[in-house]
Amino acid sequence: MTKLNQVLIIGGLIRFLIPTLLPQVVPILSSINEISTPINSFKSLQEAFYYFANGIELYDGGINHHPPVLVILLSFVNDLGYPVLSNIIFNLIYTLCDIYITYRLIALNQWYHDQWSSKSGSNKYNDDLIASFYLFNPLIIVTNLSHSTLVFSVLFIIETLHQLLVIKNLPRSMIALSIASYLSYTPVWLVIPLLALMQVTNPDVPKVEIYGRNFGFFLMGLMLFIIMSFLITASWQFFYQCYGTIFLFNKIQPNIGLWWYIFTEMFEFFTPFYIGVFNLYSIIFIFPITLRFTNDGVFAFILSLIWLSFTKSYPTIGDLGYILSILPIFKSSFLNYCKFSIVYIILLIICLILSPIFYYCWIVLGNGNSNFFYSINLIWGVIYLFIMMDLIWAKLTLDYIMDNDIKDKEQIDKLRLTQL
Amino acid sequence: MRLPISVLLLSIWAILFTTSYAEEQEESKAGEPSFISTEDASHIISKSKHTNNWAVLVSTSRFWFNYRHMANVLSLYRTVKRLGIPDSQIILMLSDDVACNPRNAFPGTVFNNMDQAIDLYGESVEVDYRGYEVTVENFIRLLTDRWDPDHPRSKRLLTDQNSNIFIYLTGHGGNEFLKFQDAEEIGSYDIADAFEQMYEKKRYNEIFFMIDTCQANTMYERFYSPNILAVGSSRLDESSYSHHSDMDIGVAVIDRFTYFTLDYLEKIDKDSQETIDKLFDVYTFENVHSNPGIRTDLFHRNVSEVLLTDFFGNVQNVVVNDGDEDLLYISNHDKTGELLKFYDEEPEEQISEGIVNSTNIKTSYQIDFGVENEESSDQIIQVSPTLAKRLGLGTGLVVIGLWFVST
Amino acid sequence: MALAETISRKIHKLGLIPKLIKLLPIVSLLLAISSVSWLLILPLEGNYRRTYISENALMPSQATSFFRESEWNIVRGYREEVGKLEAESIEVRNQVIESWLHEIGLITAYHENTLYSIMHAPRGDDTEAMVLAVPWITSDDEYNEGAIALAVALSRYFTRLSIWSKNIIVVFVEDNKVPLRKWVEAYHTSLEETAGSIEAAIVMEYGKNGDYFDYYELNYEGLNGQLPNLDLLNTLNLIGYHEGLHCVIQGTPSTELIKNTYFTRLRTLVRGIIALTLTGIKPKGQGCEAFSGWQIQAFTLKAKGTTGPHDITQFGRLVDSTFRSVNNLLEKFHQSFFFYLMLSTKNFVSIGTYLPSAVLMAVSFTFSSLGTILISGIPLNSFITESSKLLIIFVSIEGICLILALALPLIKIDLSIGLVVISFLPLLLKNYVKKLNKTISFGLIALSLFFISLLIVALLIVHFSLALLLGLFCLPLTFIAQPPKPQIKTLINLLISNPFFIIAIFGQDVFVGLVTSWHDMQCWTWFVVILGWYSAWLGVAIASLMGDFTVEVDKVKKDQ
Repeated sequence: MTKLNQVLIIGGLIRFLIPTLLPQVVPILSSINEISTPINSFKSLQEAFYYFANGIELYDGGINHHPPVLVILLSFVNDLGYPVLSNIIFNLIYTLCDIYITYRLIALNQWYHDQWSSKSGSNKYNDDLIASFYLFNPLIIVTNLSHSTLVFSVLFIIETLHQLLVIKNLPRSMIALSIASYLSYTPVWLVIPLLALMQVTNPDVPKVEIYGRNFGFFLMGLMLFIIMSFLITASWQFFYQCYGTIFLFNKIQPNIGLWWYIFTEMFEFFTPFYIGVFNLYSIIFIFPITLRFTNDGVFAFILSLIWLSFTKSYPTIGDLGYILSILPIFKSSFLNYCKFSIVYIILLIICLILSPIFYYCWIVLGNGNSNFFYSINLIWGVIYLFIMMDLIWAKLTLDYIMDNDIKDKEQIDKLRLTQL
Repeated sequence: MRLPISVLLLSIWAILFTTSYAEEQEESKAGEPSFISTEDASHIISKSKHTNNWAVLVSTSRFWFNYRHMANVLSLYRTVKRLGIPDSQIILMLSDDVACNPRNAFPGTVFNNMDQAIDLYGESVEVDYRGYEVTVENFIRLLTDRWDPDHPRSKRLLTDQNSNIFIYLTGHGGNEFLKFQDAEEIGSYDIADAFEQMYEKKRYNEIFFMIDTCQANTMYERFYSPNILAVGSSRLDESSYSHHSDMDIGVAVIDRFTYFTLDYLEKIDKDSQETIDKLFDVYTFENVHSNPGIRTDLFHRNVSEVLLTDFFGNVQNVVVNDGDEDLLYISNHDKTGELLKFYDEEPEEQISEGIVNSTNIKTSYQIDFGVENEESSDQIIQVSPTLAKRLGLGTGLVVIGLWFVST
Repeated sequence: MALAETISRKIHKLGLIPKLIKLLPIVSLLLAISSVSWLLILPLEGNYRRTYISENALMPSQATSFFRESEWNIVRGYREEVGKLEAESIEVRNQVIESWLHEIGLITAYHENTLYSIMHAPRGDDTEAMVLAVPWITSDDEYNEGAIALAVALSRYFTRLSIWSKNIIVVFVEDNKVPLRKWVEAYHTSLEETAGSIEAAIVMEYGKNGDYFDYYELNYEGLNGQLPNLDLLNTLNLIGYHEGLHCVIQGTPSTELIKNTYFTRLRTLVRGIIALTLTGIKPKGQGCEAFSGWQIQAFTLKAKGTTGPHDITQFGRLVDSTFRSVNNLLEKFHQSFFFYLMLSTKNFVSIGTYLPSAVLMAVSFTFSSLGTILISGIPLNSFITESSKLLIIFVSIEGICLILALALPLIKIDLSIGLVVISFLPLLLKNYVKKLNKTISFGLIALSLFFISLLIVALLIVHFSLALLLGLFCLPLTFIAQPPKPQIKTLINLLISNPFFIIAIFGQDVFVGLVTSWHDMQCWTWFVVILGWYSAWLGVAIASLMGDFTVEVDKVKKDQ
């Protein structure tokens, strides 16, 4: 059995067996606020199932923030009549999602390598390494075991990339992105780097056609979902609850992000202004990133993804986990020039250790206070920034090497770039 | 050439001055009542030309350990009532959580001295704004009289351009702010702007603003409307201190500044001719342990001419002898000496009948889960679960179809 | 980034990195020493603060307490009766006390052999409570007759006051370790007669001192590094000061009641750290640790001496005035510090001041770990390729420790010496098993040291004392990694950092107390010791005893 298959089987077994044999893992992990937020928690999904089964309006209680189509499609699994069977099938669904993502990542890795290996002369990581980076990433395992719906969102984002780059089917990638945006609001802004990526990978097609046509597909997909949701729930409340909550930050609950602390003590007079500022901050950097890194559109896409995760209103540790697992594909181009990985790896470990401890000190023991917990959130943000800085600098180094056609390894090692 | 002109101007000025002075004398003489001598009348009828007095007494703190702020305000309330201002012209804002607090060893009472001589809370205390109604918004609305039409008259400051208002604030303050209860602050600019609004709406003749908090003087620095006399208990970066604690109650019962104010005012009665500068003389550093401040630049009269009763008492155009008790007796007893009754004793039954006969009570009904009984549902039409399921499944199938169709 | 690049270039020019790497072990040792010296500096003038009351609502000592001479006779009467109960069984004792409490008019209830009474505040909200706990046997194994009598007399006195806003619970418990802890657990889970959430608790110990005592001792350490809010202790101190009573903490002798020098402060600081680590583990508890974990601020009062000049009613007034102060509160204790170290009854340092000590310790271990990897001369890539094997070894070590963690508490005998011996098993196995390859040896040591560093980081704030002591005791492990070293030195270093060796030194009962502390008191120190300390120790021991440490001659330093 090849190493890849071994990795896949072990990864799949971890995700399937643990919740099947220890069903209490799911609710426990689902209540830890670093792992699942009110927006994507499995508990609220189960609540939505109950509402749906009893004919109550899905968005009446203010607990459910999942879009209606997701709730309905998954409720088919839930309403089988045997809770044990439903749970097993849910476990299976999540396991298969992760395995599917792994396959797609491997294909992406291969594609990226084909694109860049000639130019940069680096190797790629083997398939099994890519798979193990994803499947054995503890952040992702924990997110998957908590059955957070973030998995579905990521699935469709990766699928978007895959459809565009490997299969070269543009409409499908747009449909996939529209599904991802429908499931959670944040990926909607990825349409910008995606359109740029489309243009770069299809240089023959005229710009207007690419942008116009594909944006049209994207809008069509989104509209389809939104209108169907409207028809299903016969009101626009789902829009407010699913996307308004994220955009307007309605539920101020502690999570691993940067927003909640600032809005806890803010006077209501200032809240709309700062909501606008925070959202703008989240969106506005996508444009310059896309424009600057068009020569490696995938990098722009991933960088936008990192930025959106950093400035999300309800992030989880899974967000960082997924990003860390996608990064190894850049081994083919510039990952070798990253210099500070040890710093953010240590910071990551420290954050993961201290965050639950400080939360426990704050809420259960009453010893600590929210400042302890928020300080760890700030360090978590710093990790994101370090990753971005490191990647961008490595990319610029690679660009320099490629522009000046430096082939000598000795010279590359001695290269010290400066910012002017 | 210059000398004669200057002499001429000087003489013109002198003539104008003396005539205006004479006019003033004329005016005061014109209002002469006929049953008292002119001199006495000119003393009694204050030169401030106000016709009614109001008092706004605010304690901005709550909780047991702020007992003394409650006592401060209630002491001044009692003083102001004693000197003649009726309840209808006093606005009292208190959190009122001290008298009936379980920690109060003497339930239902509030004392301002450890000798417990006067129970400030005993009888006839009318609190207009109690508990969480004491907010910055309500205070500003009160001053500027901007209310909804259904706000009760008893809670409004119904002053006009002839009213003298005594405003007293106490609580926890700081540099240009005063803390209102749990989570609010009022700034010195807010009060200054409110007073300006009052001036423009001609809602006062003169205001006497007294504030007893830490760094109190900073609160009146921003006033810019005329005819305001202000007194604060301590300077910037200075705290105001409590006077003493009552060891039986277990809290401090009065603040120093207010203690000495009251100490002086207790010697005053309704027709006192004492001027306000005598009160200010009491505010020494030895007494108050801080540096009180007085702001007179906006006030058009000299403080040595301002009577205490201009602000603490009520306007009286007559001098009343001590016939109060006789009058009271006459009004409350009939010829035979029996105490008169003013209430009927039947009101409760009437009220209860009214409730029973009322047709406004909703009959209760079963509450079911589900959309049929929902009154405030956002749904335009009712969508049954099966239809929703089919739609959802349909959406999924459509998307999958699009997926496979697209190239 | 450009700045980092400039600095990086400068560093390369000067060739600093290789020098730094060579110096890493020394840097690590220096950091550890500075961590200890940080603590030594704290008792100097200017580095600590005077205590003060943060919460204005407390108003300590503002209300007169009437628990005076008139109540003294009542206390004497009860004490005489209690004295007669010394020989009786717990059931008879409880019955007698219960009859007295019923005479006073209080509700009583039982939990196993613990009797407790509830006084509902007549005008209060009935939502919060204060607890007065008295064990029948003090922590010095003395019959606690004074405190029991005081408790009943105070109960009677409390019912006559109308100013309570919180309920008062009086608990008569057999001893102040396990039964009291069980009562607190039961109160929050299963008891039927309860009185709301407990805000503060006082444990009284007044033995056979008679009517007079000299001074009182205050104990305040809670389980798992928790301490009561400093405001509560300051309130008590202020009340004691107004009564003219002297207070001691951390076992200061009676001859040094008012002495406050650098040495006394340092001694109090060190004893405080050790006491906090050993809370819940020592066979004799102080009482106040039973209330940890439920957001209850608790302390223990012990009367010392018999000659006076202070009388028993003053002791009672301490309790009464403290309850009056807590009664004034509307909110939970939140203003003052929860993380502090007392240098004397009037001086303390807060967490901001003492935390760098533990941080330096953690960094010291990280540097030591990095130093191990970089000095070994083995390229980084080989570490990465062997990383899975390293992880497997470490996880299996953790597995062994987990089994030990669960098994040893069942055997309640002092096995510490035996375990020390067993720990050196790898020494015997060395000759029978193939030597571990170089990468694994160095990697395992580095991983273990890094693990200790992470452990210290995790415990930094929650249980500072344990983190500090852990760092100190594991310090010899950092000396092992610099080969070549004579075997005997390695063995000595391993021995003195072995957890069971340290436990054996601390004393016999500590082992049994440690292994039973989770079950009895929910104290997780045992798990930290076995799953953290011991597993790291095993990692280093296995690597150093069974590993290959020859270093390559040509040390080509490669910058990262």
